[in-house]
Parts: sequence; structure tokens; C-alpha cells
Amino acid sequence: MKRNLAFILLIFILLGCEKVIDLDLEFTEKRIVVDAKINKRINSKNGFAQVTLSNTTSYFEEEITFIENAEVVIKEIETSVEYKLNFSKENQYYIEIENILKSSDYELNIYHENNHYQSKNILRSSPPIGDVKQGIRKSLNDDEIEIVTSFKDIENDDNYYLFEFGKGNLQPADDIYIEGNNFTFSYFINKNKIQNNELEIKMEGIDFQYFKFIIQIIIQTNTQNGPFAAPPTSIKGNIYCVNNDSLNPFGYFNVSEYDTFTLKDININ
Amino acid sequence: MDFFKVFRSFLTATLLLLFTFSKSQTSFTVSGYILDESSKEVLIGSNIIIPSLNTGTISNSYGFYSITVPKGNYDVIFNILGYKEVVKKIIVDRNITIDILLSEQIEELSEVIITENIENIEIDLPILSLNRLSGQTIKQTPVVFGESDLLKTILLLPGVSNAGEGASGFNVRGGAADQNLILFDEAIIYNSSHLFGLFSVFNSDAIKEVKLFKGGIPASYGGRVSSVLDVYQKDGNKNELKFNGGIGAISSRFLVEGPIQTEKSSFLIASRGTYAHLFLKLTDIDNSAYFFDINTKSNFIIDKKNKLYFSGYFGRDFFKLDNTFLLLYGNTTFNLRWNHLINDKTFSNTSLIYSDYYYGLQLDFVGFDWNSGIKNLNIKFDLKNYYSSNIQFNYGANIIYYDFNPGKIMPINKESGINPSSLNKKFAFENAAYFDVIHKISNKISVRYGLRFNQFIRLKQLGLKSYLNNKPVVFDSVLKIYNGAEPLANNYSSDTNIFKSFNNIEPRFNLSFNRVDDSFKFSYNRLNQYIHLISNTNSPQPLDIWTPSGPYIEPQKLDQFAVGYYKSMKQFKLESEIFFKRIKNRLDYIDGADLVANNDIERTLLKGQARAYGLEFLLKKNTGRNQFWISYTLSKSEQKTPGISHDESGINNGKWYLTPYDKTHDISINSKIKINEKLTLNSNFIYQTGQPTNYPNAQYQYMNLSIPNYGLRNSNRLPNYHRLDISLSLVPKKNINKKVNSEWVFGIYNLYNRDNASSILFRKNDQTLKNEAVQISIFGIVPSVTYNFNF
Repeated sequence: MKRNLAFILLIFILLGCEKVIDLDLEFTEKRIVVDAKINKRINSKNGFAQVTLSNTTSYFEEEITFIENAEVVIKEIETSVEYKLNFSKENQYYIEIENILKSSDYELNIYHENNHYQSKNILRSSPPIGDVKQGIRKSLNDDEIEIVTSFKDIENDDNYYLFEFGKGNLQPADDIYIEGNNFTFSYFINKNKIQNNELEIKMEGIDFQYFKFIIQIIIQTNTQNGPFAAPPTSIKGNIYCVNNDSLNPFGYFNVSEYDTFTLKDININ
Repeated sequence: MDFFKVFRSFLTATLLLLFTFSKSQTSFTVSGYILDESSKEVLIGSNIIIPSLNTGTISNSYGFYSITVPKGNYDVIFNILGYKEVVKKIIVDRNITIDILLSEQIEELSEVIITENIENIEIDLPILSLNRLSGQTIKQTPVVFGESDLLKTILLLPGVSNAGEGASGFNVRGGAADQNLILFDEAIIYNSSHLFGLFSVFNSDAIKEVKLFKGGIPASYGGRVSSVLDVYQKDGNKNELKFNGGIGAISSRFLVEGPIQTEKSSFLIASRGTYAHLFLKLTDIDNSAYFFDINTKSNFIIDKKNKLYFSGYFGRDFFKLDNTFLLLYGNTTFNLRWNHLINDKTFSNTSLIYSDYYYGLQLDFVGFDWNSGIKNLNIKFDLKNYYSSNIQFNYGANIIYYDFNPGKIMPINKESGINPSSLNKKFAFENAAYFDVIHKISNKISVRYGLRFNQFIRLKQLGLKSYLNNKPVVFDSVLKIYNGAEPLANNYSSDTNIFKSFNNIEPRFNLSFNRVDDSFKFSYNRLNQYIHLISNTNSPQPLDIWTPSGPYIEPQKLDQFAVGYYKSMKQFKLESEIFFKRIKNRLDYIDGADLVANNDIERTLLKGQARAYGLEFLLKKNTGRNQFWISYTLSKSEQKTPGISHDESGINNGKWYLTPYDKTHDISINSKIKINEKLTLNSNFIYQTGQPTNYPNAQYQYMNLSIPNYGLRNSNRLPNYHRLDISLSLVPKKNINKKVNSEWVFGIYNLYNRDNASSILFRKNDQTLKNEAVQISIFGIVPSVTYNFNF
């Protein structure tokens, strides 16, 4: 939970006034982007693999170009079973997988325009979400409301978790200071991100590498900047190009167990 | 221990020198203190000149002077800026002790002609890259909200910059903020800013003098590689009880000083604070954001040869938001000093100094209490021997003990899921001994040379990990990512009480070649820095943690060269310098490094280097009704982290990149125009090349987020920065019957309301769902009124 230490500080640079400006930005980083995951709900054997492939664009481009003509294969290393993912209309490659193994590595292979991209990962466990409630604490931003979430950390092991409060609102957590305990924390979410007074909270088990990756994603998409921001960079994931290492894709291949909780009747006034 | 052996032989050598140099009695010594006539405050940096011998000296940090001359009758001139010159006829037929009282120069309406000799004494000294400011100058410089501020004033000097408006700390000659040694009455200050950089920790009412060494750093200083900011507090009025204070737009201050025993001892207490709810909505009664600090000083003249000083500082910043969180941080310092005159040529000072930086955070919504900090105890002995009018010896030694608290976490209550835990504390000694000689070889050539012996001992501690091949960071050549190495089963261990020690010798050399009214100067110095601020942001944050050198972190090592040309022309003085410096072992951080609450910080660190070079000009007119200074800096400041072996990418592909405080052109003009007896107009104009920054070179979609991608570090720049500030001070006609003197200061910061970019951020607009570039400006036009009083 130590990320919270750093977040607080950024709040104080509120004095500023904002102005949208026109800038000519160069587009110099052409790569493919892989958003790949194998997900299995807790207490279930089965799950699915889902991969989205796209291209980088210039910063102000509004259209994303998805890649439709790639071959995407996931291999269960322990059993040598291969799953070929099918392209669906939602611009996703998808397949359902029965009996996802805790003990086996899963290998992602993507073949596209004579390039072979690869990654490997293993399932990370998640505990169930204990409870989610709306809280009454305030943040410095009046448009934010408090969501209080609790869970019980998995004992032993170094565990890392990722919480998603509706799409794209991420909060990673580690268990260094909460080892094996029941733990309650708050996330402050902007009211306009809540639709129909409902919010779906997803919790998943992740690896340390992904934990670091998510932190970088949050920092780089956070609307804070200025003297107390770390220098932004090119975020490196866990997927590489087998035949040309200057073509390593952006994105990540994550294999995780997850739980969800839907918080209803949120008071947004 | 090695060190003590070195120290002992050093002391023996010192004493030996003293004896060998004891002179035959054809020469005699004139010595004493230079004091302000009304307050009996000692005056630092006063000139003592004997024109007939073409020689002179300067009073030291405690106001003491000593000059040795042949038997004879002399006219001796005593002069310091802002005071009436005193000429004394002194018959030197024996050793003479004479304290000189100077009175403040209030009459400024006629231009004062300064004897050329006086200007020359400073120009001829083998001292470079030094800027001096009086408390008065700081108070007269217009700043935002009308709050006079030391750090904001030094930013107007050549070679000093920061990471933009609203940044904390300051950067000297392209160095990082943690590379400045900040001394407040000799105590080390670890965080120089209040309110994230809006204010500095120095209360300008209590400041007597400030010296900023940007290079040519004398051997008496060490421990940081970029600069020394040496701040002296006032001692307090020894004659009468005085009060002064000010009421400003966002803060107020109050100072009381006076004698404890007239002419023998005095005290000073100064305090200031901002109003609570600063920048927060007034309706939010449960929220507050403010700071306060207290300065104290007292001094006691025991007898002619002994004086005691006690100074202290306590400051805290406080932020509270509802019952969500509470943040508290600040510095504490104490210093006890004993000045002792060994004889009329030899001045000694012994100090016992404590300083402490504390950071505490309570996060109710995660259920924990956090604190971290650094403490140090410093015992210091310095000796100045004014051997002859041409030679001065300075010697000294000090021992600093450090206690680093990288963090402690506690559950806030029984319901909290936090396990109490302490990160491993770290301990170290930093020892040093030095000698420093100021030697006037001839009327044309003066030199200052010295050596500083340093030793840093990282003591044994619990829980320091060990790694394969002693490498705490490994490179994944497939994913091109740096990762922390897996610690080995056994912790780092040592048979002795010491984990690692570093020994270094630092040569310091300054040369001045003098002509009638100008001089050429040269300096070289080496410095080592053993403690590092772990900070990956453009300017330091209050929670950043200091960490010592040790088995995995090497000391930063600096070499700096500077060449200067100094000229004095009647009322003007020109200082110009070219500098080049390079620093080894500058820390950089692996991508995604978690720097807070990290017990194995070495697993996130990479070793790099830094360099900076530039050209500085300073043209000053310090006398008369209209005074000004113009400073210009042309410079470059870069950093590079290539990685350990060749197949590694390093940071930024191992290429040089600009530091966030690099400013190619940096111009400031500061002026003071005395309109009449009542009105004084002060102004600043600043123009700077835009700060280095990054623009995205692509974007991509991941987890429904639009992620901007950035290429090489700091390869873009913000728009150029400029602004004009003015302030008008009005001193109402003095009513003889009233005891209270008052002054109104009306200020306007950023007079033409320029939208200076402090940063540009790239984000997806929540409403339009389109990406946009947003310029953030911190201060537009800011008017202010301050009322100052004294009685």
C-alpha cells in the first residue's frame, strides 16, 4: 500500500491554472500494442484468454487501428496443449479455456507480418473481495467519492494485487505491510465515472513485474505533472519480438485469478 | 581507527606550524571585533584596509579581524557596505586590540564615492564563485505574495536555477538540489522548503548574512558536491529591546531581540507562520494547510577571549484533510558554539551541532501512520590563524554521526490491517580534517590552497541484503528491463563494526592574478558527497529519503574548474566566470522504481554521471540612490546513466540527457531606485530558456486507457519563461513622538500577467474523450500588501 505515500503529495499543486494549447507532436514510435490476458474467476476451473492487438498512433489521433490478421496461439507448457484464439467483432482474439492450471506456464505467441512476438506467464491467485462500501471521507477534489474495499491477504508469499474500479481506474496493492491480514482501504473516484449509481470492482492477483508496470501506467496517465513528477518514459512490458528486439511490443501478458463485486445504489450527491 | 591517526598527526603538524611561524617582534598585531554601533551586532565581511601598506583583511563570520603589520603609525580604514566608513589613526608599537563600531548609513541621497582600494580588496582575494547577500537585500527583493525569501532571491544570481515555478530547492551550476550543503548557523538543513517550495525555511528577519559558494569552495566545507549556502543568523541587539514584524497577505512574522545583560549578552526570537486554510476553501473548517517556524539565538560575552552562542531552529509544515490524512514535516536544529581567542592572531571556534529532519504521515483511509527522517550530531573545531598580513591559516576537523530512519509504519488503530514494521535503520560517521591557506604572494598574485581529508564510515546494521556478484540490479536483455536482483539467503555481514569505509583527499586551489583595478582568477576543487537524496522527481519532495553511501552506493565525486575575470569601475563591479564540472556516481533509478518504503533501495539504483559547463556574468552597482544587478548565465547541465555492461540499455539508451533544471539562457535584472525619503521602488525582470520536458511521440491503448509514450528524456522544452515583478515600499514620515517605525510594501508579481508554463501535461479529456495538451501556469499576476513595523 506504499504507493499511497507518494500520491498524496501531488494533490497540493492545485494553485495552477490550466489552458489547452495546440502543439505539433511528432509520431516517431511505431510499434504493435498487445493487451493480453488469461483470466479465471476464483472458485472456478475455467476461464478465457483474450488478446487485443493494435498499433501505436500519433498522440492526437482519435482512431485506433486494430490488427485483425494476426495468428494468436496460447500454449499450456505443462500439457503442450495449444489454444488458437479466434478474432471476434469486438476487435479481440478470444478463446475459452477449460481447467486453467496453477502449476503451468502459459506461453503467448503472436505471428504478424513475418514477426513473431512471445511472452510467458503463470497464474497468480487472488483472494475474494471481502466487502465494498461507499465511504464518507473527503478528498481534495469535491467531485470524488470514497469507495471502501476490504479483503483478506493470502498468507505467506509476497502477493501483488490489482483493483479496477470501473474500466481504467486502477489501484495496485502489495502485501508487504499487511501480510495475511484483513485489510481495508479507500479509493477516491470521480462521480462522473459512475453510471446508473453502480460500480463494478474487480480484484486480481498479479506478479511483481506487472505491479511495477501498472504503477508506471498510472503515473503516465495521471493528470499530474510538474516539479514533483517522475520523468515519463517508454513503459516496457513482458512481451518481446523473437526475431528483432527493436520491435518489442507495448503492453502486457497477464495471467490471473480474479473476483468481482458490484456496488449498487451509490449516492453521488 | 585510521581516521584518528590521521587526525592526530594533522593536529601535531598544525601546532608545529603555529610555533615555527611565531614571528620576531618587529611586527605587531591589530585585532578585535567589528560591531554595529547601535545593536552591537558583529559585522561579517567588513574591510580593514591600511592604504599606506597596500594591505588589508576582512572580518570573519564572527566579526573578528586580525592584521599583523610592521611597527609604525597607520591610517586604518574600516568599511562595510551600508555603514559609514571609519578611519582610525593607530600607532602600532605593540599588539593592539581594538573593537570598531560602525554606524548605519541612512543618508543615501548623495552618491557615495567609494575608495577604489576598498573594492579592490575583495577583487584581489583568491575567492571565486562566491555570492554574498545581506538580510537587507533579501528583504528588498520583490517576490510572490510579498513574502521576502532567501531562496527566491538567490535564484536571481548567475548560475542558480530551479526546476520551475512552484518547485522546491535550488540548483547551482547545473547540480541537483540534494548537492547543496545548506547550513543555518552551521547546522545542516535537509529540506530547505516550506509548502512544497512556496517559502524557504529561512526567516529573512533573522538573517544577518548569506554566502553562496558555487565553486572554489574552501577546504573548511565539504560533504556536498554542488554548492554551499552558508546562512548566518543575527545575534540579537545587545543594547536595547527591539521588536519588529510584518503582516502579509498569507503570513505574518514577529521578531524580538534585546540584551540579557547590556553589551554582554543578547537574545533573539523570531517566529512566522502562514494562516491556516492556505489555498483551501474557507468553508472547509476541517482542512488546514500551514507552516510555522521559530528561530532563536542568544550569545554571551564571557570575557575578552571567550564568547558563547546558542542557536536553534524549529519548523513544521502541517496539512490536514478532513479525517482522510494528516501530514507533518520539518527541520529542527540546535547549535552551541564557543569562540575562543587563543591569542590576538589566533581565533578558534568549537561547535556542537544537532540537526534533524522529520516526516510524518497519517493516512486514515489506508489505516497507517508513517514516519521517516534523518538525524545528525556534529562536533566541529575550526581555527583561524592570521599569521601575517599576507598569510592566513585555517585548520579544522569535524565528526558527524548520522542516524537514518528510512521509515517506520504503524497501524492507526486496532481495526487497521497494517502490521507494524520498521525499515532497517542506517548509521554512519562522516569525519573530516582540513587545512586552508590564504596567501598573498605578492601585490599581483594571491593564492588560496588547501586539502580536506574525508572519511565516511558506514556502520554495521541489520538487514542489509547480499547479492550474487554484489550486484543488486540485473538487466533482462530480452525485455530490456532492469530488475532488482534476488537477495541471497545470507545478509551482508562484516567481522568488524564497519560495513564499508571510504577515504578521500580533496585538493582545493584558488589563484588570483591582480592588476590595478581588475583581476584574473582560477580555481579547481574536488568534493565528495556521501549521503544521497533518493528522489526521482524534477525537484525534491518532503518525503524523499536520505541514504548513505555503503557497500552498494558509492560517493558522488566532483571535479570543478573555473576561470574568472573581475573588474571594478568606480561604482560598478563586474564578475564573470567560466566553469566546467563533472560528477561521478550520480544516482539514477530503474523504470518503475519504488523509492518510498523500500527496505532494499539498492535494488532500484543505477550509477551514472553528470556534467555541467557555462558562462556567468554579474554586473553590480551596490552604492548610491539607484542600485542594480544584472546577471546572465549561459550553461548546459546533463546527466547520463549508461548501465554496467555493454549489452545494457542504461537509462535513456545510455545517452546524455538534459537535467530538468537546465536553462540555456538565464537573465535577471534586479534594481532598487530610491525615489525620495519615503519611497523606494524595487523590481526584478527574469528571462529564461524554457525548462526541458517531454512530449509524447506516440500513444496506445491499454486497459481502456490511452497511454502516452515518451522517447528520449527531456528532449523538448517548455516555452521560454519571463516576468516582471515590482514592489514599492513606503516609509511614512517619522513622527518624533511615536516610537513605532512602519513601512508599507505594495508588490505586484508577474506585472504583465504572463502565462508562464510550469508544465505541460498530456491527458484524455473526460468529457470530449479526446487527448489534449494542457499548459499549467502557477502564478499569474499576484498583487500583495505587507505591513512591517519595528519599535
